Order: sequence, then structure tokens, then C-alpha cells
Amino acid sequence: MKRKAIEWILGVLLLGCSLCLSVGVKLVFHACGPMEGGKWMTCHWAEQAVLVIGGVMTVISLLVLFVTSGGMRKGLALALVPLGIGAALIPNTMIKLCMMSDMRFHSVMKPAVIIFGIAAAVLGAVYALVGKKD
Amino acid sequence: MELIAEKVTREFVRPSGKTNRFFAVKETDFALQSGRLTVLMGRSGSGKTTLLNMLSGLLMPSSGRITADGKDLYAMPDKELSRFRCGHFGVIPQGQTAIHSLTVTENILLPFALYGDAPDEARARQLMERLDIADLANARPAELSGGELRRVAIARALVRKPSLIFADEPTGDLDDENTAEVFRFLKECASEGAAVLVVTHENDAKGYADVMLKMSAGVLTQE
Amino acid sequence: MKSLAIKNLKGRPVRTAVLMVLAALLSFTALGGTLVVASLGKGLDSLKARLGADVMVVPREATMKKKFEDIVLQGSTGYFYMSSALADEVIQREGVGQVSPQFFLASTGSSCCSIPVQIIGFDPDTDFTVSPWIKRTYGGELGKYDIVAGSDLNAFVGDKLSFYGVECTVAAKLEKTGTTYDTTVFTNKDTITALIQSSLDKGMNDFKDTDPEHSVSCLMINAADGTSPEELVNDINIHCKKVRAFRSGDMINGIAGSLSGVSQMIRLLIAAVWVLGIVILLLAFTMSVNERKKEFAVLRVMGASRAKLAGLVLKEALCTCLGGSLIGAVVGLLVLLPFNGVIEKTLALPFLLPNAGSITCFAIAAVALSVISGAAAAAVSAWRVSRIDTGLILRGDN
Repeated sequence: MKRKAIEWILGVLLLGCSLCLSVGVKLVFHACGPMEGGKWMTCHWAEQAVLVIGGVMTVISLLVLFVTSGGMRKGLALALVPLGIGAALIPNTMIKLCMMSDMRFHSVMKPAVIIFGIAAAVLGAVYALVGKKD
Repeated sequence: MELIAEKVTREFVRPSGKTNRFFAVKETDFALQSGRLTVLMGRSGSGKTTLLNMLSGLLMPSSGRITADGKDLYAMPDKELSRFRCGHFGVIPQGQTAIHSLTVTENILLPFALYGDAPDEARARQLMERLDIADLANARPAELSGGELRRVAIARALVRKPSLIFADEPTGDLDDENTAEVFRFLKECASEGAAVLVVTHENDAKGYADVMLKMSAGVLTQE
Repeated sequence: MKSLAIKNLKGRPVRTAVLMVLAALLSFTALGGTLVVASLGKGLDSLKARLGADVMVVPREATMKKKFEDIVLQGSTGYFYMSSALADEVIQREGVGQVSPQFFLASTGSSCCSIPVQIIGFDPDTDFTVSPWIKRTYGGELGKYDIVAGSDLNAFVGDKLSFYGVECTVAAKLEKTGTTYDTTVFTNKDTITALIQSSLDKGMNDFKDTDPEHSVSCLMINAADGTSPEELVNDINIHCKKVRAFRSGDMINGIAGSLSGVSQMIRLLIAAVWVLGIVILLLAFTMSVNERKKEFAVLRVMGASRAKLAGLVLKEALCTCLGGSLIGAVVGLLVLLPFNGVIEKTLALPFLLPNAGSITCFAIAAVALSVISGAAAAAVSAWRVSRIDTGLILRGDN
């Protein structure tokens, strides 16, 4: 009973982090808008990359919550570790950003993506360790 | 261990009127001897519980003194008295008295945990079996019936093999069979050398008593 | 008894969680508020140091639309020029001591980015405001087409950046100053002259008639001994109509006023949250003890001393408050440190985070204060529980 409660809490937190990366990166922690003429800056493409990874992580988090097999849940949670780290590496490491164009990407999106990405990775690792096999 | 009360009284003042003083216990001499089961009966409000609380070190008398093996209980500082009570007294209070965040076993072993003493788990198991609550070892108080909670309280009071046992209505919430079992058990404790005082309304208790006492309007008499 | 405190907390998880959240809020507010106030103070000190000169002189049109103030204080980009002849007229005024020219330019974006970056050129032979900052991270001489990048710019040593078709190399990166320096590129006079010329050649400079070899944007002046900055400012403004002089102190006073107001508000907010938080903790601990009066009476019956009962209440409070305030401090650091850029931009004031050691001290102090407050709030209940009338409480149910 206690173990189940911990798994649920971890699962919900994982879902939260994943949603922050997928939905949050578009609605709250978004990057700059388009330039004059409609062209997008590199930070926009970084945002899109985080959206995709965040979307994948959201689906996996939902599976972690609702799949019945304990072993499968642990495996899925473990998969969130490299995905979370990958998401955290996108802003400015994998996709180089503009030199100080608007501060927003550096001041808002980058720290948010790094925090939620690393948090998801840590939570995924914890879940894989403490989750009940079956 | 012998408990002696000399000229003890207990006076209360009703908060509503400062001059409205009354004696819950009038001047009393009393001795609780080891190896004997003493039953104290009386109507509600006669002062039985007040007397029991004074004898068990929980309520300071307004006058007189109470000694246990020559030690004046109320001359000791609270810390010393509490430690003494934990080691030598077993008190079964009225009503439901379990700690809700602990399991049945943890409740019973609590007298050891108070002062970090090594718990006697064998004794706890023995008591649980005797009182027919062994199956409830890991249950929480919220899951227990009134009678089961009463038996937990009894086990907890007896787990340290106290030399003085004070039981205030120990058989409330118990059926006839369990009531008889509890009185038999307390009688056994007395025969093993403990001094036992039982405050009760149960007439069946008379059959187990070595000494019968009656309390009426604060006055203690022997039957 | 130690584990009884923990078990009591676990036995009422919702109440424990609420108390921990309260304690977390207290430590978060204390840490957050203190860090913001400290950062504002540090930023102001940094700005004072950055402005460096007693008096600044710019072309009159640069002050008409607050252009210069916006560049210095708000981080907007812009440029303006006055002729060297006009600058010489100012330099020759009596009371002018140390003087150094600066040259402004704003880049256009590169193909991926649209917003310009401020470029400031200085004369290494005479400069006394920018050079001290640069020397903290770069001791060498800036060669032609070498630039120094502010700390918030996404450019690092060795990177190549192009301005108006002129390729420049990042020779150094400045330490964070919490001012508009952090989003500025600095270079020497030779390089900026080349950049200005290139912008003119490409028809991208608003000042089409400017001669970059004989133009300056701003004069940084220290008053000579025996002359006060006020006297110098008045003298220049009266006798040189085409320029505007002002004291850097006046600029700072305005900022200092806003900063003081913001800091005051933050302190009031912290105080309000704390007073409310402590009152709620007091009520919560009192209620918690009241609803468990019988359990405390039972412990007393078992042989717990009055001191032990009080100790149990205090232990519960300490565990709750310690756990909660640690969480609050961690959350506070996770919010304030990575997102300090947003806070800086929102406040629009100089903002410089203290060093790691100071931040650690603030965090420890916030946790300690929250724990002590929780313990103080619980102390009332602890005292009351040590005074319980055991007999009365146990009789109460029957």
C-alpha cells in the first residue's frame, strides 16, 4: 500500500515534469516570436525540439501511471532518464542560441527546460529503483 | 511493594464560584499491599477515581502523604516521579486510551520506549495471547473495537510487570466472558506479588477481591 | 520518544504536509526576499562603480528622448555622435580633469537573430571606466577586431562575430555586473571606428554624415581638484549648448530611489508573510495539541514526565519545520538562481546575485529562522501540554 502510494506520487511528478516540457514550453516558457518577415530564430527550433521530446516523455509518463506490469513500469521510468537529460541538453548545448537576441530564451526557457529535464531524469531513476517489480 | 496513604485529602474549587470548595476525598488512611487484589466500588462522583489518581502519582493530595516502599511520591520532582511510575506502576485508565499513530504492538511496548529501555517483546506477545489480541499485532487503533482497545490498554499497563497495578473501570466495553478473564488475570497478577487496586461498578469483581472497599461522598470505608 | 514524534507526524499526513508547506513558505519568502534585496543592493553598487566618472557629456539630441539614459540604465541599444571639435571645446573647459571618449554603435542582427547588440568603443590610452572591469578577466591588449563580450551574451572566447560585415574575435568575456554592461560588446577605438565606417559604407547608419575618425559619442570626465562635479556640469551646460552634461550621481539617485522603494516593499511583504505564517503555525500547533489531549494524558499516565510531553510537541514541530524549511529553501534557490534573468528584467533595476558563499549563508539563515519560528510557535502548545490535568482529561470522555 505504501509502495503503491510512492509509485503514484512519483508517477504524477514525472507526468508533471513531462507536461512542463511539452505544454509548458509552448505556453509558459516559450522562446522568442518570429522576426519581421516571419522568419524564426534558432531558439524557436530549440523550443520545437523540446516540445517533441516533452511530448514523448508525456506519453511514457502516462504509461508509467497506468500500465499494470510492475517491471514494464520500471523500464518505462528508466527510459525517461536519457530523455530528460536529452531535453536539458537541447537549449544552447545541442542547439546553439542567438547572441542575446531577446533575453527570454536565456532567462526563461533555458533554465526551465534544464530544471524540468533533470528533475524528470532524477524522478525516473528513483522510480526505476524503488518501484515494485510485481 | 507497599503503597501507604496517610491522612490524604483532595479539595477542589469550582471555577464558577471561588468559595464553592468541596472535598472529593475526605481525610483517608489507606494501604495497598502486595499480593492482594483490592476492589473499590462506589457511585459516580463518590471520589473513587480521584483517590486512584492520587495513589497512582497523578494528582497531588491537598494534604497528607503517599509513600511507596517508604518513598514520598509527591516529594519527588516530576521527572523522578514519572520515571518511578513508569518502572513500578501499571495504570489502566478509563475510556479509550490508545495512541492512534502506533500499531497495537507499538502501543503495548510504549512504556519501554518512553525512556529508551529495551522492549520485552516476548512479554508483549504473551500478554497479547492471553488477552486474545495476538492477531491484531499490526493493526491500528482505528481498526479495533472498544473491547479490543480496552485489552490493549490492559496489556500496555502490565507489560513492564509492575509491582503496583491501578485499574479504573478495566472491564468497560467488555462482554461477560472477557470481563471474567480480565478479573482472573488481575487476580493472577496479585498472586504473583503485585498490589492491585481495581475501581469498578461490576458486582462480579467481589468474587475476586481480597479486600473490598467502598467510597461514598469522599469517605472510604471497608466492607 | 524520538520515533513517537515521527510516527505521530506520519499518522496525520495531511496535517503534517500543511505544516511543512507553511514552514516552506516562510523559508522561501525569507530567502527569496533577502536574495532579491541583496542583489538589488549589489547591482546598485556595481552600477556606481561602472559609471565611474563624475560627469558624462553627450550630444544634446541624445538626451532629448532619454536615449542615453535608456542605453545606460535600460539596456536599449542606440548610438549618437558629436564632432571631435565639439568634444575638444568641452575638454578645454576649466575644471575638467581626467577625460576619456567613448564611441557607441548598435549592431544589426545576424541572419538568425533580429535584435541589435550595443557596442561601445573606448580609448585604451585614456579610459578609466571600462578598462578596470575588463582587466578583471583579460589582462592583455585588445588588438584590432578583438572584442570583449558582456557576461549575458551568448558568445565565448574564440568565437567569431560579424558586425556590418567586419569579422571580430571574442578575446574575453566580462564578469557579471548586473548592469547593462552584461549585454554590451566592448572594443577599442580602432575597431569601432572600422565598424562605424563599415556601417556607413553599407548605408546602415542613421548618422550618414558622420566622420568616424573625428566623432565621439560620449565623454567620461572626472572633475579636476578644486572643482565640484556640479560646478563642472553647470559650466559645460552654460557654455557648450550643443551638448548636455550631467552628474552620474544624479542618474544613480533616481535608480537608488526606485531600488529603495522596491526593497522596502519586498521587506514589508516578507514581514507580512512571516507574521501571518507564524500566527497560522501557532494556531495549527495549538489545534494539534488540543485534539490529542487525551493521548498526551495517556502518555502521562504511562510515566511520561511533563518535560517529556513538552519535548514531544517540540520535536514534532522541529521535524515539521526543518523538513518544510529545507524544501522551501531548495525551491527558493531553484527558482531564484536559474531565473534571476527574468527577475532582473521584470524589476528593470541593476541586479547582481551575491556570491555562492553569501547565498549559502542566506539559505542557512532562512532555514534556521523558519525552524526557530516554528519552535517558538509550538513552545506555547508545549508549555500548555506540560500543564495538562490528566485526571480531568481522561474522565472527560466518560
